[in-house]
Amino acid sequence: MLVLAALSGAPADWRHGYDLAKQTGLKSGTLYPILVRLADRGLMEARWEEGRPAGRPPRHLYRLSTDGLARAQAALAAAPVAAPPAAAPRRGASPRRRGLAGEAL
Amino acid sequence: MTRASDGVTRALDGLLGRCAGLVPPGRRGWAEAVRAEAGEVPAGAARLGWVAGGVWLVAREAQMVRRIGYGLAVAAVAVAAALVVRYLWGGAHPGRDAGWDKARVVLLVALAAGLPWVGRRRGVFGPVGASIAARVVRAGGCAAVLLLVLDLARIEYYPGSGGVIWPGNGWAREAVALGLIGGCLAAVLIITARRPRHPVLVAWCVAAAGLVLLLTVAPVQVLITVYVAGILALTTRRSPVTPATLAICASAGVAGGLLVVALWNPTRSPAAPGLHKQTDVRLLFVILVAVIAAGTAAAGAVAVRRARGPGDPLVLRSARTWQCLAAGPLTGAAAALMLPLLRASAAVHFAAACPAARHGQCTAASGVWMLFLVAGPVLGLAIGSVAAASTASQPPQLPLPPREARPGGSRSGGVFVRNS
Repeated sequence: MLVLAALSGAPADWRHGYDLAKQTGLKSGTLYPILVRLADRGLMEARWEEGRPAGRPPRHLYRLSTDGLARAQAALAAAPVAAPPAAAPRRGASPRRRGLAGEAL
Repeated sequence: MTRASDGVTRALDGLLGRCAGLVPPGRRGWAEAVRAEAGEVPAGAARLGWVAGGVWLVAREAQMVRRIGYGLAVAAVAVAAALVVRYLWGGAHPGRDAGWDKARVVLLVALAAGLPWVGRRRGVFGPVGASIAARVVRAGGCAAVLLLVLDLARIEYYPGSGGVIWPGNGWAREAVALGLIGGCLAAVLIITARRPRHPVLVAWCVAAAGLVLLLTVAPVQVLITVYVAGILALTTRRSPVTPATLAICASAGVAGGLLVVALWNPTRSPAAPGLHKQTDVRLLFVILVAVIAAGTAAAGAVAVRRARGPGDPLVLRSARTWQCLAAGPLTGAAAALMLPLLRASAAVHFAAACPAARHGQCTAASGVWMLFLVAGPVLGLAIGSVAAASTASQPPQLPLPPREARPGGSRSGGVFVRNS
């Protein structure tokens, strides 16, 4: 849910993984499997950053597809109101303990 | 500390880059995506955690846990098969038909070699269910059966042990086998002649006759095959048996089997001071039956408790019936598998050490194990059938009503919280 909420916040924008991790508080080992599943189900588009940015490798970028945006909005509307995600995860707290962060759909 | 952390991070990053090749080609980009952003993450523990998450992603996407488990299963089966062949060719005891023995073991090795392949194919026997209980029961059950095969081979072909199945030899054994074969053929012919319009019945009769024939020719091999087939079928992804049933029955069966092993003393009489008297086998059977009944009842109770609420009554009944029908044989098989595993090795050493007069005792002990191996699932099926009949006839229960809030407070996470 947190990932869907983060991606649907600005649906036209392309987001990168670390940006999403900072916003959702998820670690890479949790975030990326969710992204993989979203992409597998056609709910999310992914592409590599164009060009060669200075000083860093190109990033992998993500945004919700049209279908994904509709389903995300429906899921978010049906979900109970959750506390806003922390900017940084509490040490030792798993996503499931923190709420619905571990659920992609 | 930071330098050490950076070193580990670099090592993990290198590992991530190398392991990305294990991921299917269409998914390698995800591993590269994690690596590409590692530079954005602050150095130290945060970056280390980021890269470690990437390694976990690769392990997950490459299904490395499954690959490693499959490789270990293949290796275990190969080692067991090699050991069985070594026992066989190392020393068949005198007086037995070595040619038949070797043919039986070749059949057993062929069956064991097909085990990982069958367990992986999509169908009745595979792939394994997603629950931890299904994986543990499948891995533990197959490992127990492999150890059982090894122990049986050691006892069966140990010089002077007397064998486990069909002890001794001679015309009596051959006459019994011929009688069984003749009876099966006659039964099939009679049923085919009297009920020609019932192809399903005829098919079942042919299958039963074939099973009896196989049991006559290669009893251990059939028993092992039935055990393995049962374990695989109960733990497959399509199995209607729930993880709770698997966990309850396997635990109850193992605990009951260990209890029987602890109480069992197969020696007939104390030949030396300090040895206990032989345990009454009837007591062990009573314990086995009690364990199976308890495991089946617990699994049935859980099935009834979980299958509540508005739903198709037929579906609820089917779910409960399946739990009870599977619970009995599973508990009985788990209990029975404990006996030979823990006693067979001791019996081999006993057979080696004991004088010729005690060979009969060794054979009797081996016979009791085989009896338990057959009787455990059969008794379980009988008890499970009774439980299924009584459980399935119960009307579907209504869902549990929501718990009313206590005045002055409520429960949160099992803790009473007083309203402020």
